[in-house]
Amino acid sequence: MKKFLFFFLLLFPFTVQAQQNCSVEKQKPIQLLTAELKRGFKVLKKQNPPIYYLSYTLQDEISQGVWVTQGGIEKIWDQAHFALTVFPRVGNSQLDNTRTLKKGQTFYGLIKKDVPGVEGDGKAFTNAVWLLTQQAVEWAQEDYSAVQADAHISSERLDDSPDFMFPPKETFCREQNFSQFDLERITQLLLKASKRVNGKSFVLSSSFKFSNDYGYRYFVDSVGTRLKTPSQLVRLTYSIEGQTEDGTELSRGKSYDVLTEEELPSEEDFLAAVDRSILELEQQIKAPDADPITVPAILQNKAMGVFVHEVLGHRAEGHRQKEDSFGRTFTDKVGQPIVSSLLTIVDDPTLPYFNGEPLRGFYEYDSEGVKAAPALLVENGVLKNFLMSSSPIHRFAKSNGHGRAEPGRRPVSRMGNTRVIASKTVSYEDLEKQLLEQIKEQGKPYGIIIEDLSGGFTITETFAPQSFKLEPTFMYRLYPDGRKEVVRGADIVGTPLVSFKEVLAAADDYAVFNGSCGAESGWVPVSAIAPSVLLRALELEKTQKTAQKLPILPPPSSEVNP
Amino acid sequence: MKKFLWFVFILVFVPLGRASAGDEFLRAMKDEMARSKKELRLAGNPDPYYIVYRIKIIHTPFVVKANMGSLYRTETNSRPVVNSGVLLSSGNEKQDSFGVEGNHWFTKRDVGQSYAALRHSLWELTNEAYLTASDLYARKEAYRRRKAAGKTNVDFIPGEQSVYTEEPPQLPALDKEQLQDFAKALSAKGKNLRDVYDFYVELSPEQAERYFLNNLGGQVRYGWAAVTATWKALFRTQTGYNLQLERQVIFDASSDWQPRLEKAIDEFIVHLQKMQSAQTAEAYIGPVLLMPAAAAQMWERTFVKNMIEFSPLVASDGTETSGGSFKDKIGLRVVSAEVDVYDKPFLREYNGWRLKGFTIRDDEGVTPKELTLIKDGYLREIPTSSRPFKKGIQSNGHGRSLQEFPRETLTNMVVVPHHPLSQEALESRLLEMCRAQELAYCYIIHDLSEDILERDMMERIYTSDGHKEPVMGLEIETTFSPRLLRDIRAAGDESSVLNTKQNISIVTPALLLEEMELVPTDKKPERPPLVPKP
Repeated sequence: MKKFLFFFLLLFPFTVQAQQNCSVEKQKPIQLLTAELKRGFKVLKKQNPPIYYLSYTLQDEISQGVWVTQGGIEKIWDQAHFALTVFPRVGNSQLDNTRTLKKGQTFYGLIKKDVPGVEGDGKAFTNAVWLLTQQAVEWAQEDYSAVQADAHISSERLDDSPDFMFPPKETFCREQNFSQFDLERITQLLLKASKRVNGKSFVLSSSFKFSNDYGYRYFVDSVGTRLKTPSQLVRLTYSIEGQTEDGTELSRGKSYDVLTEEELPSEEDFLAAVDRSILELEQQIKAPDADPITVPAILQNKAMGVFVHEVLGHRAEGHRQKEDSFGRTFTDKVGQPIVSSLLTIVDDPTLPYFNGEPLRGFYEYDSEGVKAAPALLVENGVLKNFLMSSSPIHRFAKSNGHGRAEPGRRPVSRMGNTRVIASKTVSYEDLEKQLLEQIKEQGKPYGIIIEDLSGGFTITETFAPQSFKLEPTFMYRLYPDGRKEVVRGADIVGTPLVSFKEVLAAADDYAVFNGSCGAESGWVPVSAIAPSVLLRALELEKTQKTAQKLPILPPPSSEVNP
Repeated sequence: MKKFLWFVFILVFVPLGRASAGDEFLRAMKDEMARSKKELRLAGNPDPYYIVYRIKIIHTPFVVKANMGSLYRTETNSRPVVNSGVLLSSGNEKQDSFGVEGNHWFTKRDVGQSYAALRHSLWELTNEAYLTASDLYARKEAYRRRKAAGKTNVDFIPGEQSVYTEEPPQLPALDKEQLQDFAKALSAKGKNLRDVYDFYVELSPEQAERYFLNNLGGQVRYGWAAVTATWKALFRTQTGYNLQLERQVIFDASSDWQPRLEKAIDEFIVHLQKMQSAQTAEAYIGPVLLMPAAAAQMWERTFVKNMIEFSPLVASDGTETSGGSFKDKIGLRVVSAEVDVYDKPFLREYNGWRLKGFTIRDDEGVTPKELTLIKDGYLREIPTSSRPFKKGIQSNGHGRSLQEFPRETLTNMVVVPHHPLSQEALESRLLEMCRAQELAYCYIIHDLSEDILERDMMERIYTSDGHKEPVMGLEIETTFSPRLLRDIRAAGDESSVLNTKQNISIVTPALLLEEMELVPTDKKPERPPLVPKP
């Protein structure tokens, strides 16, 4: 417990860095949105059925970047987005248009459209807001009729909590100087890196990308919340792909999430990383095909981050405890152990950095205008809480600032920065020693070390097996004699209640996995921070292979002077 | 001050000088084609014998978007986008892999802008196309074995190949700020119109280049510079319908397009206001006047449809599909004698409107011939490709493809009336015909598109005094068969252009038709906005 507190305190200084530095009332988009919201809401709340809550989210963003494929610039972009999402709630907080239908398909899309700028008299902007509100209200009223009908004709819901808890009124305004990047220098770096595949006939394709997305989000709702928050996501990434004769598609790559140009890797380091990835790809192509097996395994830190995200994180999302269509794996397990007592898991979106690495899951206010806050999900293995949006569930009435959505989608509870904290750690070397001991103790031919995962998915609904599948992109067999052998062509599979229980040990090598997570409410940036862990058993199954034959001729880049 | 102006010129104006990349692209195409022709082999399958590489480079320096007098934040693509495509047939000229329905697409994708990137893309696409060709060859062979008649024609008789290179026209220097102001001013025209909820204008200048290379020696390079204008309005009619009207016109960038666009938008507003005030209508059978846009749509649905793609394809279930029916009607009278129809591949523009049918070489590398399609009502010539649909047919340079392998098609179809009439004279003729049938009114139709919203609006013209009245809510019950073409009674003296989705341009004047049937629709009006427009 002490150790947990220590980690928690370590995080705390970062959480207070976001200070207001502007007046939200003086922001022209806020002024125009507020005026139109007030004018409209006065009329809309008297309709039948009434609009009882209305919010506007305006995204004012710049997207810049460059994409290099196979040694040439495929795309350079510099785009501005000024898009409005309108979210009306129809009916009342007990039963409204957002309720998931028991019979039929629920649509999570909202009206979202580019709107004219606020320059000049702002009339064109206001007109667009009015028009989109009208369209959004029509949709929402239709949805509400479907919800009402569904409530009459469907079986009783297991959790009859209200559909909405009004969020508290908030005002916040922060501006920041967004980091700018030398695109020309980065482009040249990417072109240089892309030439490293020349002469390698096993590299079938390669892509190198830099993107810098930054800007402000303005949020206004009928409760009175007025927000202006900045965000910036910068990523340098590459991927190098190949394939084996038997159709296993393989790739190696790396992503660098940064916030300043100084945080980007040096040219030397970047090119070395690319060379290493090419080498690893070649190793994988030559490697034996993995067998379906259950063996002791190490999930290295980043892979563990993805594992926790897929296996536990999604099942701790509040709305998945409420809807009958979900498996509700953890709904009734609050206060009970659900994972190894070694682990504490907290989702903390207020954390902008970890060990100097920017976290993509950082935000100040969620998509419903609720202040972001850490949510302690699991303490020493015991389930404590869920990730909550403004949709209450049994025993958890309030949002903890995890209502998230891609613009144009309806928010549901989502992860931000999911952090795994081990109460006791060893060095990574010791963890491998423990793995060797496990292999021998269990009489297994080998153990597995998962170094990297590309991602995965989990099924939380009842219509299908509520299992998960993760796709390792680099793994080894560790033989009892300590020899390591790269293998390929296997996925990790399992079910949530079993998989986490047997975490035997954890290392002290915490690392960040930055990624994007897709679910009902669209794609949102997330991070996972975890140590490497030793699992008593991990199940591997064969991965899907493509029917596509290897190209008849080698790629032109394999020629000496392409 | 001079220095400042010079700076402004550099920063704001957008000249495009980017010709040197072309040689590199061509080299990549030639190198990969040579390697593929020599080395691409799959044991047990026929070799590739016909390979085409196409690339298209499009540079859109900026896009200007405005609504109700305000600008959108614009998107900028500062570099050209390169799209590469490969078409490959295996076998030989007597028997090849082309001709199976729906599966022999022109494989294509965007690529990086360099020799290496383009070669890589062509390598991938050629490999993919060869595997597809091998599969289709086997299917076609199975089909032939099943057919008692067997094979009667050769599959491919290549036309004469040549090299054509034309330096692409440069996009004229465009002042972005001036275009922004122009778009703002155009969109502001909708700002104070009654019950107009949205009025959007988009201007997109574009410079494009096309490269074509086949393994028979055909090589083409040419380009164009154009400005695409798109505008649309959302509005409410007095009968309670919420409608959206949209238009798109492609102007030749070197033409004096801005005043013409402004005129087109003014006419659009007049049209829109007529739609707003239109009354509901009743069923009608009688003469109609098709305005040029509607006339072009009529040609597309009755004539063009039957004048293309004559070679039947083998369907995926092993049966044949039907080719265009006019292949068997040469020498027959298929159209009224009031008009002649030509196919003019080399026309780049008509009155400043860019013609997408412009073809300097067809997609088989053959120089197209101008065709007299209809003379005095009789079908004289038809388009042909290098794939003969019957014995003795040779290509006249009309093998074009959008996504599939090249098939017979038209380029720029131009309708020329024998006795062109002014709009006034056309309306008089219409009224005469109506009076002869003792009708109280007849119809002027502006649009015949598939879009029901668009074609809802028509104009009644009354026989008593010639006054006009907009009406809405009519659907056309007439079947669009080639029979309709024989009902043309007169044609106008001003033409407009329709660029079809198949990249065929139709240039036609207004047409007076003997008879059409119109019936009312059952569409219900919508409620007014809950909150009044701000």
